[in-house]
Amino acid sequence: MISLESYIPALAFLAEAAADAVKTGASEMNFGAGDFFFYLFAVIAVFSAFMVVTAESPISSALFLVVTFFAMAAIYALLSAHFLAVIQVLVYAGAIMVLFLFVIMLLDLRKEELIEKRHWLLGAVGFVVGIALVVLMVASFRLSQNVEVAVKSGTDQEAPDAAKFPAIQESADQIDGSRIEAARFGTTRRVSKHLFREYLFPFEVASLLLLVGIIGVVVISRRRRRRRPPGEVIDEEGAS
Amino acid sequence: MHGIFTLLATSTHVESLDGDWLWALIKAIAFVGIFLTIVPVMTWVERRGSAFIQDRVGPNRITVFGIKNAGLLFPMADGLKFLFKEDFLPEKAEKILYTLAPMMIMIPAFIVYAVVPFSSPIMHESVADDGAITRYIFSIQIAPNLGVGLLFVFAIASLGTYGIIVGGWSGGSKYSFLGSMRACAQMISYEIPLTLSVIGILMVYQTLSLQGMVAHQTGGGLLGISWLPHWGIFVQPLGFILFLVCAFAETNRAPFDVVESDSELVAGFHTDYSGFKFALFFMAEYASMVTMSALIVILFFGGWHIPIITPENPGSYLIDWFRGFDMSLLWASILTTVIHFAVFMAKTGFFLWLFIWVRWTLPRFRYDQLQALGWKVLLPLGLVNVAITALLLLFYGM
Repeated sequence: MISLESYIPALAFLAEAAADAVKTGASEMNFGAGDFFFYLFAVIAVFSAFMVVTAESPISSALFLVVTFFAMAAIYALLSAHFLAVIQVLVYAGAIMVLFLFVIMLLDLRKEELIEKRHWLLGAVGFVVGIALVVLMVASFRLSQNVEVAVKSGTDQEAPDAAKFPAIQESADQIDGSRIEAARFGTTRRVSKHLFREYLFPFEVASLLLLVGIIGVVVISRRRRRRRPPGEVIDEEGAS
Repeated sequence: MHGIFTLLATSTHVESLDGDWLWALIKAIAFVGIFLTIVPVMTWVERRGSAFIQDRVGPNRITVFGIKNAGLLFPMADGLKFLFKEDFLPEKAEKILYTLAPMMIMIPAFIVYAVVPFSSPIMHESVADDGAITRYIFSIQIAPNLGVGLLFVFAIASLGTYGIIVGGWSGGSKYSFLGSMRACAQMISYEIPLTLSVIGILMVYQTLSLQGMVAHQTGGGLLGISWLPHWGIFVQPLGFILFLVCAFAETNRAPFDVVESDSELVAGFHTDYSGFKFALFFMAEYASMVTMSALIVILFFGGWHIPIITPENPGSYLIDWFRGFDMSLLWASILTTVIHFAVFMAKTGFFLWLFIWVRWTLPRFRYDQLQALGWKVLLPLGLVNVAITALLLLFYGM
């Protein structure tokens, strides 16, 4: 657990960026229901992510991570990536985090056991990485704002920065021309067509990697089984 | 659905009321109300049914003005008891999580109803002066336009496990903790076969939308037999059996109620709970039973379709039959919707009874037996089902 103090400046920075976004959102864009829900879930996601790191009990920490996944799924759904949203909840919130909780409960980690002295270097590295992430996030946020301005105006005059990024400018033109297409791109049919036609090879490679992982787990757990005294029952076969 | 399709194809304009959030809210409140009313009825059926199966009399002591009512007032007495009992907080409990756990199990159980199509849509038409016909559609489903329907159900239903895990852990008692440990182990062993069991039927229906699945099961003439309805159970018999078995594990009902196992763990994960918090756990169990029964009906038993009467000929469909009596489209479709809803509830009711029937007939599986069943029997069978379905679709194009 990284100390609370090191995160305060980072959070303040983020809050400022969010406030900026809300202001521009209210004045320049039509602040509709979609925007409201986006900011609602964004705030929930950031808050619960913060709580994952700072929560005292590992169980609450894991539960806040579930909330983060859920809020992110909601944001995916708002971006009309329905399939991704549902898979996010089904796989991460519904299955993987249950396993996490299982392990935490199995080890019965309590608050007291986790309070131990950490090397100062760990904290420093964490701080630097955290700041780098925030900078990356804000940078990508600014870039995406340029795209939106370009979409709104349709010309380069009001968005000089976008002209520097031809790819973004091109995609901005496409967004404007194909709104209906955009509403459909996240459907199960579309995603599976992409996955099993264009990206079949990466898909198979990824599944092979997972298979290797599964076999690895079986091998490791078998080795342990031999060392145990006979008669001890192991009841979580292949549980991962 | 045929009659509806013909109607939609012949109209100049189709307007849907489904996008209106106010109607969605009204529908949501109405459905939650309906299913909250089912819960006390189910407790009555469970008690009287178990008594019937075990050759006992069952609850029959409450009489009103001397009239025996077969214990129908017991659910009311139960509800009052839950409200007035002390809300006890165990000494070692984590207060916030302990309070949140019943809600964590209750909310997913009800959110699932958002995508369930309960009946055929209500329609209304208006003819303009120039002969243009505008037809309005009102779906009996809270969120009809969600394309990921079935996945949504699984995603939300899988969140219900947290209620059990957190509820068992936060009480600080060993019995309830063991219950929630078992819940974790049980969940990983049946969730994969559950998902695998529907992949076959998804391949046949080619859609994830529950509405689309019901539409796919219209009419008869399956395998050339004119009276055999086009239901999922006849297309995917193995898939149905796998789904049914996993549904019992998903709802934590006997023979897979190792999470509760009254005879070993007192009451399993909710041992420490009392008063209304316990009532919430109790209600969530019945709510998820209703969900799974409704899903079985939608996936494998034609949803709100009436067997045999639902013919291949679109012209003689129920709604068209009603319109034959000079009824306006609105009234004809309302009547059809009511009948379809009754059919849907009757089918769902049968499976609810099946849950009770099985509970009072079969003994409980030991928790390692349940895991062995999930991993060594159901999972391979699910894979076999997917493979066979794929081959059949590839060569015969079912």
